[in-house]
Amino acid sequence: MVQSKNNLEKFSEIPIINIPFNTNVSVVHIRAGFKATQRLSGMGITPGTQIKILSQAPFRGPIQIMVRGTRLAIGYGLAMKIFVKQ
Amino acid sequence: MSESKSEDKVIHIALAGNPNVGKSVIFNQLTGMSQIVGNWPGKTVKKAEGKCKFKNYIFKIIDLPGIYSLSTYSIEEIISREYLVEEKPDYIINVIDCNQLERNLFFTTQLQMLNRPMILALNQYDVLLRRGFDINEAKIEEMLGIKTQKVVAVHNRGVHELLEKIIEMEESGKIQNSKPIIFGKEIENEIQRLGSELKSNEILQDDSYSLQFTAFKILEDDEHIKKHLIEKNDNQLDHFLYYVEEKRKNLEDFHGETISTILNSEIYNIVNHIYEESIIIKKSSRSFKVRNFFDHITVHSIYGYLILAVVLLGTYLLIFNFGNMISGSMDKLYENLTPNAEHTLGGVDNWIYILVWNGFVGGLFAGVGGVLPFVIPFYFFIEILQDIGYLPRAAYLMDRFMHRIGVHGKTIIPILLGFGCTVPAVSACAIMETENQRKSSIIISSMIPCSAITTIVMGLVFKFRGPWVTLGLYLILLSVIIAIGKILTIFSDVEESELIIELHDFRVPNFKVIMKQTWHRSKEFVYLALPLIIILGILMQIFVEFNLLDWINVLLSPVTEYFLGLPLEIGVYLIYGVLRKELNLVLLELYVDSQGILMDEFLSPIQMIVFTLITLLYIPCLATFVVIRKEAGRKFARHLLFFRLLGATLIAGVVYWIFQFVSNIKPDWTFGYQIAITILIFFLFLYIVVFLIGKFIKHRDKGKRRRSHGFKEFAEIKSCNNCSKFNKCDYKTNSSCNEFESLE
Repeated sequence: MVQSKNNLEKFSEIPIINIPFNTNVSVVHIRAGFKATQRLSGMGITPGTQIKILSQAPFRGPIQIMVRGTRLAIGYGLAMKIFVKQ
Repeated sequence: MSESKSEDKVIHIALAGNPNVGKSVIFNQLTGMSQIVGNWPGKTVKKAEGKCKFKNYIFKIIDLPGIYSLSTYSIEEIISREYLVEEKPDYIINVIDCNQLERNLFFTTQLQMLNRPMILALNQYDVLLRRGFDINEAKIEEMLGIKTQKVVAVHNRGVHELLEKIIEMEESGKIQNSKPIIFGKEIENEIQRLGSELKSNEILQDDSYSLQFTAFKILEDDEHIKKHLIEKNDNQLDHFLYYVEEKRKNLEDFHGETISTILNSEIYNIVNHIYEESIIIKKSSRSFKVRNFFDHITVHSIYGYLILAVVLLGTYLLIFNFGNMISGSMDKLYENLTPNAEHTLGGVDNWIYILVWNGFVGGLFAGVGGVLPFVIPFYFFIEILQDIGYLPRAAYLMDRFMHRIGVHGKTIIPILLGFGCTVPAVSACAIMETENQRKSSIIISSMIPCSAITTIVMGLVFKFRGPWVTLGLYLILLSVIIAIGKILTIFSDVEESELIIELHDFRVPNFKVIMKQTWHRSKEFVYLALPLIIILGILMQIFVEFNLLDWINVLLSPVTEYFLGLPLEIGVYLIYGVLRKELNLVLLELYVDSQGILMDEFLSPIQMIVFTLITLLYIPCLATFVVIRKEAGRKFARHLLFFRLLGATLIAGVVYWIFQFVSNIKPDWTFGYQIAITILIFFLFLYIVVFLIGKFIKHRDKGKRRRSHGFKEFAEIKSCNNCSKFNKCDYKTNSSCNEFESLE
């Protein structure tokens, strides 16, 4: 039951990479491994967190985001696994 | 506590906090010069201890590594946690950056759960005020139940007040443990229930971990806590663990998230509440125009790279010139002093002269003149770049390219330093997060041609064979480095190598602090490396004296003469390079001169390339070796040495034999064409080798990996289906089931 509801919701989730710069979005889901998820939450990224992309390095480089008053750089591959909604 | 007893009472203090909050600055302000910097036993993590005397108390202070959370993501987190729990410092000073209160408090709440006497240092308070904010200390003290102190560490304001507060607590006899945090109703209930379960069943037999921390972490499925409890209870924990798992599963099902996400979100809710209650907005925050401009431009897609290039090239040239200048004048000084020494020590043939002057003083000059002028300014510049906060931005810009080579984005820093001198490059590898990353960046950065190697390449290949062959040589080196990077990626975890780094605000560097740090780093290096360099210098003179050199040449001849096609006499010059790489060439030149021939005649073009190649790759110089040993342990250093020797010989040999092959087929081609074809064939060879290694390892690991990741998770949730002992099977607790193993 819970599972199917989540699946429906996932249509509105977009990887953070596809969000235009300087838009406020909130994290819905982090689909990374255990360690990476733990790490991200240590740095302040948990579901429900408000974040904003500031810039991206060229050639699929890392993205720079604003979370809880700090700026973080997150590698492209990992950023693909952070799903957000507006 | 009576006055007489407190005469020189020792109080143990641990400094804990996020990276870059000024922990080390506070540590330096408190301990001054009396600190011991080493590594945690068997780990690549720095351990800094120091003590200070303040008001009849002796404070023994330990500076724990900067971490973001008390989980088990990195080795630092595990070390810090174990220290806090097992060594039980009398007080914990949690240093936080007021400007990032929210994220810092996340860590504070985790410390709070440990239920230890704690004090909160609100660092960089001046910056907060300047930004137009203030902090309600009383509110924080009330909500967290711990004492706080505003600190401006760089200006030494409020630092000793921290100790005063501790003394106050100590003398009043009211040692205040941090009070446990209160979660939201749902989680709080679970944790309470687990806590009472832990208590009533006497599972937590000692008081090392607090009840709340244990309950919280066991709910989070923390491997370390689980292991700790299982050990304490002689594996009689199946029932309890099953109970916990059920609770965890319920929570996960209800929220549709993993347990660590649920719990961390919960903590952030609490933290957010504290943050909003305690921060006071005094005036509309003044915008930092200049700072914003720099923040923007340093990560810009075009200007960012330009600035990076200017910063690095500038640093490199400055240090290279400065180092060469000092190093050159030291060499001159040595030469000028030599006749005098000859006179006083009894002539060139006197063994005292040879041992004392050539050996001891020569070694001293090699170390002081050849290494220190490069190492010290490098440390100085790294400290500046780190202090102003530029390094994370370099990592951000270069991450993509570094990934291509197969290493983490942050490795760019040691690599770039490596062009100057490998010693600071290897110490800079400490910025990597996990042990594996640290080791692979040590491997990579120790292979970068340092200024001494550049001297050899320029003085030999470039001088006699021109720019194109030099370029070819560097291409070979680059391809080897990329190949090693690729091989290392095969072994590493993909997600672990993803960049997650904080780009903190630019800060004005504090020169006093930088000088202190540079001093500490250089001192360490001098103590470790200089004696070894001198001893080796003396040893080599003894070799010369007893005519052991010819023996060494003969001993090495199967490799040097037959496999690599080098002249017999060259063997011993390769050994000199251990002391200082450029000695390879300098001494060889002297020898060739003494034979009355030109270098051109002594070494054929291909021999020149093979010789340079092997000098590039074969062994890190002694100073580097010492630093590697210090940073990553003896075993790692020994292995690295062995593989470097083996790898360098193989690579140089392969190049030589490919060239032999090419020149035999096409003897009428010019040397340039032959070497170009050789290099192309070598690339192909390297590609095939890496490809095959990749295939082999993936094939070998396939079964193992599936079992360790996806499959294990599946098996844990459904409990063990492979044997009939439902939920009593060992697999659930020990992750090994006899039946399960036999089925595989």
